[in-house]
Parts: sequence; structure tokens; C-alpha cells
Amino acid sequence: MNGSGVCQDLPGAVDSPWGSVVAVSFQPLTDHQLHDLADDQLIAYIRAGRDAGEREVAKRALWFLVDGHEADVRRRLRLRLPKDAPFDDLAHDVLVRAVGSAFDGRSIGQFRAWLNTIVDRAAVDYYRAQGRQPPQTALPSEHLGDDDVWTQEPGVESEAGAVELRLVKDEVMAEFNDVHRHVLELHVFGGLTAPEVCDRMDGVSEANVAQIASRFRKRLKERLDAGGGDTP
Amino acid sequence: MTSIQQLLAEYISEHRAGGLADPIAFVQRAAPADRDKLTDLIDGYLSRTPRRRSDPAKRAGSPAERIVAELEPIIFGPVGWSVLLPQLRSEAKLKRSDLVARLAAELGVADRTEKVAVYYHEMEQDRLRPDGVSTRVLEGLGKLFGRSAEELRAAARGPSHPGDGLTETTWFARSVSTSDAVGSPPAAAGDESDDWDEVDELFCGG
Repeated sequence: MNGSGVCQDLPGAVDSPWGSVVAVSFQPLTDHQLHDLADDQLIAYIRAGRDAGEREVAKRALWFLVDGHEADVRRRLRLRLPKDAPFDDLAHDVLVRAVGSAFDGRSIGQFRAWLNTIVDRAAVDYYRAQGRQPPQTALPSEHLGDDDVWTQEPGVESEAGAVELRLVKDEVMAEFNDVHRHVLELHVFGGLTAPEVCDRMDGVSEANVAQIASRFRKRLKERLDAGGGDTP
Repeated sequence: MTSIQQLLAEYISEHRAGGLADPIAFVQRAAPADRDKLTDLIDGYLSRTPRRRSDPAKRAGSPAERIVAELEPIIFGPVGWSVLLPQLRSEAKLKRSDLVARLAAELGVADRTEKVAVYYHEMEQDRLRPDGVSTRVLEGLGKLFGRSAEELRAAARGPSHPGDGLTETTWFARSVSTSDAVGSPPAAAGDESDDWDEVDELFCGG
């Protein structure tokens, strides 16, 4: 039994920071506990609450899920669309579609990857509805560090492939704690050198930066190789 | 450090600190030749960053609350008249007796207001079959609440819905005499007596 009095390894068990949780007897979580759940754990919790008849408790958790992403969805749409686009309405529609799909089985892969796909589609659909072409921007070349630079983008010809690649990157990033993720955002994705990262982050040495980046590169390659995709 | 990287690092710092983090403001600070690149880098960061911590004190009236309201029937099923009607009545600041009187007048059965009261009470208990309640009744209620008949119909619950916590629902459908008190035990569905009248037809005839 875990601390919630629920047995592990039962059908339908979902991992949580407090061990496996099963909707045998639904236990409402505190706001602090809800914050600690990953998106897919939160969705499982909402389903469990709904099925247990705890509608208001499940709705509260649903609000956490939606509110946690709403501002960044709007920011991403602002980056992609002209300044007179109805960002609030578009963000509303994106989240209704993405969250609704997560509960009716239409989503592909994990929630975050699916949400990102819906954002991409919303931007393209907006331009098409306006009778315009979306701006053509080159994909960024992703650098795995000074010693190992991808010379071409990973081959993802299908939407499912793009979702899968994002999913793998997101999953590998999720293995790192908050400080390490910040290092990766600045050094691996942002292109800052190790000294530049150290200037911005207290308690992080150049050796730390190199180790974190190396571990990320290794994990990403392991995951991509295991998935059978093209190795960059 | 290049300018584009400095801007990205500043953006990430502001975003992580819970600041405004308006991406356009940062992109516009970049050299024109670098703006597409910075756009992609910020977009990539935002697509990866974890879900932000929410403040429940700001839930009421938030954009997320409006999204949840639209998702609610999709995820949880119809809210049911037992929840919606009292809520709408409260928003309209109508006592039940006033609402019933106005509804009966709207339906042209003001002389049988007590019977309408019994049926309306059953609606607020989710004990009337939704498909038995006529559109005229819902249109009449809709006028009083400022909602459409379709919206009221969509909120009705059938015999079982996810999150009900119930395995069956007993339906109330009988001819109610004016001497019946509100809250008397419901009869089985389809139990019609000889004095079936227009009010019965409005609330149970479909």
C-alpha cells in the first residue's frame, strides 16, 4: 500500500509522485499535490474523480490543467500569427480541442505533444481561413553541444512522426530537474556557451553544464535509437 | 554572447520568474535578420516548458474557467437540471413561486399554477424525463432565464451519465392534481390517470 491507502500494481494503476494510484476509492488531492502531477497524471486523476462522481473536485483539477497551459498557448500563437489575430479566442479553441481530445481518445501520444500539434494546426488553419500562406521559416538546427552538431533536421515526414519526436524530447527533458532543464534550455536549445550559462545561473559550474548536456545527448540518442527513427 | 542568445536567456528568465514574458517584445528587440531565429527559439522553449503553477484565487472569471465551462458537458456529461435550474433561478433573482407563476402564465395555464409548481419542482430534482418535457416549457423557462431552449435541453441528464455515481434514476410522470403537495413520492414512469390534461402534456408528453 502507498501512503494513500491504495494498492499498487492493480489494473488501471497510474504513477504519481506518491506511488501508484488507482481509482479504487478516489481520494481528492490538495492544490499542492495537483501542481506536482504531470499532465497525463492529472488527466488520469480528472477521469478518476469524474468516474467516482466527484464532479466539482474533478472540475477543479481540470482548471489546473487548462490554466497551467493557457498563457503559453497564447504566447506561442502570438509568435506565429499577425498582431490583429484574435489570440484569446484562438487559444480558447486550441485548449478546448486539445483537452477534449485527451478525454475522447482522439489525441495522438501524450497530452503535451498533442497540445503542441494543435497549436501548430491552429496557426496554419488561421492563415488558410484568411486566404493567406503561413510564413515559411526554416527549422532551427538543433545543437547537441560544441562537439556534436546536427547538420540536418531529423527526418519527420508525417505529423505522427513530428509528434513522436517532440514526445521523445519532452520525455527526456522531463527526466531532468528544474535547474538542469534551465541549463538545457540555455545551453542545448539556446546555444549559450557553458561560461555564459554559469554567468546567468548561481551554483552551476562549467563542468556541471557539460555533464548535464552530455547526459541529455546520451539519453536522447538512446530513446531515438530505441524508437528506430533516423539518427541525426 | 550573441544578441539573439542574450535575448533568449532574458526571455527565459522573465518567463521562469512569472513575468509578462511577451514574446513579441523580445523578438522586436532583435536585429531584423535574427527575428525568425529568435521566434523559433522562444517557440521551442514555450513548447517544452512545464505547466505553470496556478493560483486558485484567480480562478473565477479567468480564461481557463471559461474553457472549463465549455469542456464540462464534453468531459463530465450534462450538468443536469438539478444543478442548472436553481443556478439560473439564483442568477435571475427569482423566487421559485414567482418563476412558477410567470411560467404558468407564459404557457397559458395560469389557472393551474399549483400543478406547474409540482412539475417544476420535479424538474429541479432531475426526476422528469427530459424527452417528456415539451419545447414550449423550455422556451418559457428560457425567456425567464435569458437562455435558449436548446441550451436547457442539452443540460438535461438521462438515466445514467459519467460521474452520476448512480445506477438508476426513477422517473416521475403522472397526472398531478392541484391538491398534491410538492415533494410527495413520485409514481413509476408512464403512470397516467384519467385527468391527464394540458399541463401533464406539457411536462410529460414530449
